[in-house]
Amino acid sequence: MKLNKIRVSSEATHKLGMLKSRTGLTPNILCRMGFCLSLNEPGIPNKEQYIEDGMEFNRYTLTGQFDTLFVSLLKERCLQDKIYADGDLPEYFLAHVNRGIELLYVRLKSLRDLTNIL
Amino acid sequence: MIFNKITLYNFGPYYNRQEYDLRPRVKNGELCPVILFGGKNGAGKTTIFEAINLSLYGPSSLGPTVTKSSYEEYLFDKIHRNTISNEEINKASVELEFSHIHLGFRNIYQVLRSWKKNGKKIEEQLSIKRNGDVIEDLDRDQWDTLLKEILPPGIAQTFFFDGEKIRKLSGERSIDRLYMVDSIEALLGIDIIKRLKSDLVTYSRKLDKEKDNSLYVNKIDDLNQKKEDLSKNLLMLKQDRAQNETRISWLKSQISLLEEKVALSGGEFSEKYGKLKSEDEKLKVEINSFEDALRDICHGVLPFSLCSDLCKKLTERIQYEQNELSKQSLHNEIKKHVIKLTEEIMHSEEFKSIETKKIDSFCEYMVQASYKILQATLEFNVSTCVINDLSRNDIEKLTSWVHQALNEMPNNVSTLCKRINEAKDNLKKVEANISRVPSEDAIRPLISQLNQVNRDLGAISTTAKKQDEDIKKNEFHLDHIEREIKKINQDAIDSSRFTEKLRLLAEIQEILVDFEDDLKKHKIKELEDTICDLFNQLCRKKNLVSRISIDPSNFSHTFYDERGNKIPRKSLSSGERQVFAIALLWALKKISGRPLPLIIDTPLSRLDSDHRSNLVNIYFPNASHQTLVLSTDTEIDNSFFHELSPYVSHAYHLNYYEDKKMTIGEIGYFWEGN
Repeated sequence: MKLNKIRVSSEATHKLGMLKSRTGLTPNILCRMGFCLSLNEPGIPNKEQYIEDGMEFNRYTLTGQFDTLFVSLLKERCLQDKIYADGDLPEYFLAHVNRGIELLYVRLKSLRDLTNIL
Repeated sequence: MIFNKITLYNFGPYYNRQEYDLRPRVKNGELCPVILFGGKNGAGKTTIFEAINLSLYGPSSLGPTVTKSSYEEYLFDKIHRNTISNEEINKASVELEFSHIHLGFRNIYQVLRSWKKNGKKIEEQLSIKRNGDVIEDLDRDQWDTLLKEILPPGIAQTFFFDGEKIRKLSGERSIDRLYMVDSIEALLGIDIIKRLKSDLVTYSRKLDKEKDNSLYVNKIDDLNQKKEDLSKNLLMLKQDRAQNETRISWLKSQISLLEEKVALSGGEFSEKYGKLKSEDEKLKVEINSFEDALRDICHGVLPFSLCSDLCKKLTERIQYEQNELSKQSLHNEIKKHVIKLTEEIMHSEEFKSIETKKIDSFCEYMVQASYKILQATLEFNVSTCVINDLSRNDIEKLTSWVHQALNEMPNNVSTLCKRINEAKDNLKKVEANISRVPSEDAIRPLISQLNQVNRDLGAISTTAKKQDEDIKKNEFHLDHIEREIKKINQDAIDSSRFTEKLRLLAEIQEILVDFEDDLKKHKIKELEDTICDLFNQLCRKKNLVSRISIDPSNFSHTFYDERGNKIPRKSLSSGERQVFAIALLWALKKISGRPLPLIIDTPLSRLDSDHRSNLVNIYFPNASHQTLVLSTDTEIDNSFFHELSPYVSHAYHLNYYEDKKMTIGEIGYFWEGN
């Protein structure tokens, strides 16, 4: 997957800030969790919905050692959604991150809520 | 500049290779500038003139607007036709060698223009050598331009001329209609100013595009406003923060005061209070450590536990794909074996007795059958294979991460969360106990006060923390804006230099207009005087004209007599007008100060003997450091030849041989062998 920089929306950036003060988790980790949460959510995210006007992440600090697993999961999800195409992967990656942050913002009021969203 | 030699090869009436030395020689210690070419009509005098022009200017030697086809036609016609030898001649060339001093260096140039017939077409080639080497610092297609730079064609017009041009110049048409205004301006040095003017216009247009002062001003105002707002905001934040700080320290002192009081009022409660207090501390530390552990887990595989279903599906797919891939490689192996096997059967001794056809069809069947069996499992699509670009190591890692995320994480998290919850519950109880009214009435208000103060401290500490963050953010922002302002200020300074430049440009342009006028006046005056002087030297009637005035706009001229009266043009004879034309050309050459050779082709035809004598005795010897004169035997005849001979470096006789149908140049003049 060709993707080096990931820029989330300004809204997502704001929500990441709030989530950070609630949980003490860094934006990178919050993005990882949001991404997975969105992968688990039914419905295909709208890849045109999110404007890239907020915080920017380096792909490899965001995915870290788990890069292959993140990409494989995204492929699996896109295969299930029947929208798999190599060129579209970066856009769906971004869409899931953005949607995930919103989901996380709603469901994670404190660190202890982790047990409820597993 | 000096022309060293011209070499003609099958050019016009000149058959084969003929070379003419053009260098003026020194005789009796004096340089003789005139090189004389004598020839009767049709012998090829004008051909020499054309050859020099052609080698320098190629197509434009025929005029400013010549088409490629008419140029090629010209070249075609110029190839020598030898009717005697029946030889088909395909190639011709002209080569001019000249020396030119540029930036203090004398360079020898050899310009060779050659062409050959190719069917009805002409292939032309130009080669220029500088000091014997092909020029390397210039592309071939720029060679023509180089020649034009060395000797501008406009200027050459006044240095190479024939009777025709003199006739035109002396005629009724004004000079500007003869396209000579440009060359006259170039010779007088006025064109440089014109070029400078147009260059300056281009430059100022370029500058105009780049400047945009108003933009900077707006931007700076904008940024300064922002900066002011931010600074105010920051100041307020800092004041608030400082207030909070004093309040915090006040609250802290209150707490220790109250705790002291409680301890003093003591008894059973103070002991209990201390215990509860330490338990409270312990629980808080515990909660912190549990939360840290939870965050630690979040850095690991925990996120994947949030999509456990998908993880499961992924492991299933990985297994399926691995299976399929290994099947595929197995199938490839089997295919190889089946092919090998059928080959062995076909070549085996044992089966030789069986009919070949049957064996073949048997083998064919076997291959097809085994392919069919294999085919059933080959529907797997590799292009959407998730693990396609993963190594075995990667796959192992993936599987173990997924395993961890599915099996270990949920338990770990729920245990930790449970512990946090328990600890928080305990903390609540402890805090409730602390705040619970103790047995002794005296302490009760103190305790409730203490609790209140503690709560206040907590609240205010949170606010202070937030304020710290805000202050940091604001400071960062302010720093950013200050840097931006600095940069824009720098840009603005640059742009004011710009404006200064533009102002100077406008001034220079104004000055140039005046300067051009002055220079033109000055040069025209010089030209008027020089022409007048030269004309009177050459003219038979002395002091026919006492003043000549020239209109700077189109270089048309008016003659005045001694009394200052206009002399009508018509009252001058055509011979006198020709003399005037020569005087004009001579004067231009003198004033321009360009050391260029002069070529004059049959200039005397219309003049009477007095004017001819003046030209031969005054003009030819003094016109240039190198003067090529192309003349017939009636123009420079025996007696003129003797008058001119002290200035003649050497002479050629262009002799046309009727029997050979060609011209051969011989050293000497008509009557005089050298």
